[in-house]
Amino acid sequence: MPRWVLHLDLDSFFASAEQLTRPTLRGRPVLVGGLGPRGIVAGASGEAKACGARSAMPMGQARRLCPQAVALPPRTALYRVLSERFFGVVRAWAPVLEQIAYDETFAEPEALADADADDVRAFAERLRAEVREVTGLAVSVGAGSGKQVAKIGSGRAKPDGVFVVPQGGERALLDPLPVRALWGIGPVAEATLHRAGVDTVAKLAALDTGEVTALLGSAVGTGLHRLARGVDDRPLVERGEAKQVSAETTFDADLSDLGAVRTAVAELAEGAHRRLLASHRAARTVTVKIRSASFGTTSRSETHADATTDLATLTDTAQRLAVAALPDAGVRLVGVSFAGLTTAVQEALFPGTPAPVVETPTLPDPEPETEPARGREWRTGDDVAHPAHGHGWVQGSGHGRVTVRFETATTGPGRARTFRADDPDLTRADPLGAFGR
Amino acid sequence: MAPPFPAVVFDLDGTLTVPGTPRAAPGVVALVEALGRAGVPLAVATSAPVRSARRVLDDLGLAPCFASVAGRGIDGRYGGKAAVVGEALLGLGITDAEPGAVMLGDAPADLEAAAAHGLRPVGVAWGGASAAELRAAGAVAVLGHPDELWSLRAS
Repeated sequence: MPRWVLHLDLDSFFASAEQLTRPTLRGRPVLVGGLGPRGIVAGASGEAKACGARSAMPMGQARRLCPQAVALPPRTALYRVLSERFFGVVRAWAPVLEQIAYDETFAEPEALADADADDVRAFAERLRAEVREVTGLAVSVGAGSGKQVAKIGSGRAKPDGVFVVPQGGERALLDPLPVRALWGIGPVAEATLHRAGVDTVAKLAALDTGEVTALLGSAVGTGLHRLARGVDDRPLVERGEAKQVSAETTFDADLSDLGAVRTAVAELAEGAHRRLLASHRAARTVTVKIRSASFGTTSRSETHADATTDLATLTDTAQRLAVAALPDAGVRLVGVSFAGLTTAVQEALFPGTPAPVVETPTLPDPEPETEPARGREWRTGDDVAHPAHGHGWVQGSGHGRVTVRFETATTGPGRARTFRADDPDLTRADPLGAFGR
Repeated sequence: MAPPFPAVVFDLDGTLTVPGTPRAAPGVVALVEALGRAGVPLAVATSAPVRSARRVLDDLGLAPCFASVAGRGIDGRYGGKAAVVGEALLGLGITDAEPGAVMLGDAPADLEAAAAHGLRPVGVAWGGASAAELRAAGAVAVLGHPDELWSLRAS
């Protein structure tokens, strides 16, 4: 029975989000990232990529390559909401996901269990249409019999398209690629293969398994050889929410007095507590791990009836457990972890709030927003509100003046107006206001 | 108290590890743990696949210290060392690196990538390249032992 894996990747996510909510930017090169002297590009629109600008490039370099680009600071709060909407749609269509990033995921839809390539293409187009309707963003979709070809497929599908690798068509896609395109080939394996005259996937596939394992070792070689031959049955791995949050530390010199251990435990509890709060959850189980040079590792844990986020309660429990677990020798390592995590507290406080989405890798935390209005100068990219003109964004400022373009995702391109920087009608606005009505 | 560095980015092979092996270079584990305890955001930028890099860090027990690991992508795409360093910083949530942020590397390419992003390029002498070679590539210092990094602290 054919297996179908999809790889979905939002096109130029950060820059597209800016173009969505600031319609004047549509069709223009946009760079999102740090605007300071050591700024880094976090996202580039298709128009900016056409000039050679790339994500992760120094901002200065990108601006030299694309001098006409509009450079804006990231608006994490906005991206987070769009990412949640994107995953909301995808999860409804395909509950089995392996999330790679805030804008990228594998999916294995049950509906495609018996499908042929045309069914898959139609499914992907319907999914893309719904993502666009709900988020306003373009998503490219690659599909094939495994993760490797689906991922390569979404690259071929860009921008804003679908690329289906038919069952049995894996070799045609992979053969011409350099060996490093295969999942898990590092520089060492690549160099080894090159020395053996193997530079393309086709040449790797043409070897017999014994030759490959002789070159790369049996652990790596077998899997790579299968991948090269288009056989990829690796399952999707749900990146579940962290089961626990923890902190631990190793001491340079063994700790021998009780007070010092209690202090260390309190500090670790504080660190783990920060992560607990950051994940918007509460913990029921407190575990303390203690390692001594001579007595190995001991751990003790205690589970409360109710989940809590109270630092004092969690610290008390951790300190009590640490004292109970204390060996008759110096302590080399102490760890504190909180588990049995629940969102119950949050649900009780904010009924109706959806559970937080799975922790998204590499999305920066929102910068501290909503500083007091007079806290700093207007900066390019700030969201503003005006009683007469509505929601807008700062296009430029200087010499006591600020130019604001009034527009949102729902208004179409708006007009730019210039104000005195201290005009009392101009106030800072929530970036989410840029979604419009 | 402010952390001693706004951020530190490490190359993996030959910098965190003994060149060509997954073993930690002497003194590196203690340095990474101490930086972590001091609240310094830490990242790894490597030309190896991210997955293998994570495995190496896991085996060294250092994975929890690194909030960001950047390397070759799952499709084999590798945009060069400067792009990986950029990704490593983005992974820390940094889009504007602060002055005083440091990158440690054992190869000229690491130091050039550091300079491209305005990080202080710091060479390490235990990776094989000579101090002269590293200085020529822009190293502001070449460490003979990991602990010498502390003499470069920003605050």
